[in-house]
Amino acid sequence: MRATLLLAAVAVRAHANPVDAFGFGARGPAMAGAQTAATDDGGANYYNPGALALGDDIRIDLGYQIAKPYLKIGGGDQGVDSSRGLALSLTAPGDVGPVHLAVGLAVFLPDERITRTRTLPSARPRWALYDNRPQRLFLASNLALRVGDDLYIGGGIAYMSRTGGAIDLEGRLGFPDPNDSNFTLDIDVTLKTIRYAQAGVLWRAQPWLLVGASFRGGFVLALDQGFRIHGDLGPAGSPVVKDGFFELHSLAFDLFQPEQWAAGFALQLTPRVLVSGDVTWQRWSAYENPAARIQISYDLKQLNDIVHIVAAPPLEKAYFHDTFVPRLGVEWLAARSPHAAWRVRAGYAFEPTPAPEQRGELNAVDNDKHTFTAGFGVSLSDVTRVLVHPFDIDAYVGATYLPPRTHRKLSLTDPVGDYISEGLVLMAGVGTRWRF
Amino acid sequence: MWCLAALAACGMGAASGGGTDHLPVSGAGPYGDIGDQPVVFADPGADLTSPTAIALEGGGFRIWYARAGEIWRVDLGDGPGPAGEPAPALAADRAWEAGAVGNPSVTPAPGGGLLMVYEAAGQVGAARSNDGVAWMKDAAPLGDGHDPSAVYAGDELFVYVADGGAIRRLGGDVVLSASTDPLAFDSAAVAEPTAAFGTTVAGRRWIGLFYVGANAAGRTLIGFAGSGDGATFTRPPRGRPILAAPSIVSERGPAPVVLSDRAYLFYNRVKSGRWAIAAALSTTP
Repeated sequence: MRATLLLAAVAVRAHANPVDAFGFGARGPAMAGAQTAATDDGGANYYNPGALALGDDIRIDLGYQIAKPYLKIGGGDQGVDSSRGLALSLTAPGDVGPVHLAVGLAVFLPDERITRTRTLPSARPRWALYDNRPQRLFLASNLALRVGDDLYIGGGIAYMSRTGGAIDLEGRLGFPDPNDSNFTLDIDVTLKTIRYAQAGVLWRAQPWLLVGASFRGGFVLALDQGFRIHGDLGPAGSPVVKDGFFELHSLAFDLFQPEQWAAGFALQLTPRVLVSGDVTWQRWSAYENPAARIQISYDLKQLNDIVHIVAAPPLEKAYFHDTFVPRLGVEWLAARSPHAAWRVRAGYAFEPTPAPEQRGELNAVDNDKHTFTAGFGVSLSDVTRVLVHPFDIDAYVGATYLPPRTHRKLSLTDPVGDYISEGLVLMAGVGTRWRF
Repeated sequence: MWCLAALAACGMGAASGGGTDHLPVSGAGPYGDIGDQPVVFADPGADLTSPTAIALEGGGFRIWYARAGEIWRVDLGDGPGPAGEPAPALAADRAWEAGAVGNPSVTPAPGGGLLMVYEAAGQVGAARSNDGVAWMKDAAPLGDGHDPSAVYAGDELFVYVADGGAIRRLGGDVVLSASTDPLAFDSAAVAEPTAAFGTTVAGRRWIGLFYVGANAAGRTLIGFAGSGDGATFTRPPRGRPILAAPSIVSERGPAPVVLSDRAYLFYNRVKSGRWAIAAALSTTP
């Protein structure tokens, strides 16, 4: 007999990346991420690659960002890990004939772990967008060019790796004495690169108005693992089972990132006031039930009649839906002197949750999010002979409020029961910008 | 070694990285053993059966149980073994009790105090206490039944009893029968009900019924069913026993204590040929 079963429900994936969750750089997060048309620093590598071609200087942005969640399910703080790390970007513009172009490279390098993936039982409540989402490296490279005087187009790829592999044991399993076993072991694990595209366009419609659009591709990390044991069971020379096998194949997913389309504007309302706005469509409907699929095959010969592996019920659908995320930012030139220009920034974003109320076995918890941010920046020029070009220092703080949400279970025998999810995420960061 | 204070950290449900602390549980299980020794209280000279438990305000638990025709109590604290000496709580002193009392069930009463229901001579008696130590019996039995369990839902009292392989409300209809699945652990009979009541954060009334199910071979394991009205109970979808590692022989006498982020299940299992009191913990799935 050969049986193939589809089992379920041992893993949950989480989503996106720390830049999606908390922004990149120090200026963008200070304006709540309303940067599709307003970005002018290394954050363009994420918000709108087309904007990389805006300047003429070689720019290096170096900063540090931290976000600390205080998230509660059922009244208790889950101790969700903070996300913190170095934000580094390089923008190198130049001219090739009549074409003005720029290359950009950006990396968010977490200082706790490069990437975390983990498999949890599907019924275990977790903050689906804050579990593994901020716990990964973000790496992107882009190329941008200026078309005419007012149009900027850019694009590139972001990188991630996935794993695939198998463990094969072949030989004889001693029974009843396992020390009598004789196996050869073959481990084959492969790290494969995943690339996903991103692109952006920026148009200076008026001297006082920029409009832009950007695209970020979807992404999911597949964790594909297999285990196979093949051979005889029993004493050497007189095996109980001859030439049998047991094979387990696990396919889990992690670090889901929805495809995103963003459109925005940057309006120079007065010489001192810049207002920016964004709307981002996020394709969360592509999010599937994050539980792992485990496929088991076996042939134990005459023991097949007494070995029965019960199939698990079908996976419950996640029923996430697409979302539109509006963002609004403002930047005010508060003071200017021959050597310094001081700017104050603020922003607000509303991120409706893509997750439905968790009424079944799956507990992929998420809430609506209201994000309030504030920051400042100072641009220094002619302060030293070493730095010929202006040198910027930016900083921001922010808070994301997740109002209480009640989850009512359909089953009165649910092991988790009804609960309320709520929380707060505090953010801060500093950045410096060097021009050459 | 048994550690009550560190129950949640005793190796259940831990995962690398944050995000899994203080997760809610309903009490429906599954439950796992605490440490490597599930038995928390035993008496080499007697069977200790039908435990019923409440959480003490200062930490720990007070457990009442049947022992040699009487009802006893013992406090369990944070360390191994009892926090105090076991003591008699209730003895048979009424004619209708026929010389023995057993199968206690204790529940907090509205307005304070405790209500105990117990079995004597196939009837259900009641006693009340302000401190859990001194008990005042009601004058007359409440009715006929075995293995009684009482719980208040607001001001409404629910008393469940075992009766002929099924569980019914005292003086009322059957609320849970043996499973119709011939392969189920409770295919032959259900008995020894213990009810727990709560109001969920969504404001819904929830009554959990822990019970002992028996199969055709006579092996007894603990199951769970839930209800919103106390009259109709449903089993979990796959209807399995709630102890993750069921006793090889049998288990009886479920006594749950449901808290916000964990639930305890005291129960009977055999140790050295005697029924003893064991404990299990449900944290997160």
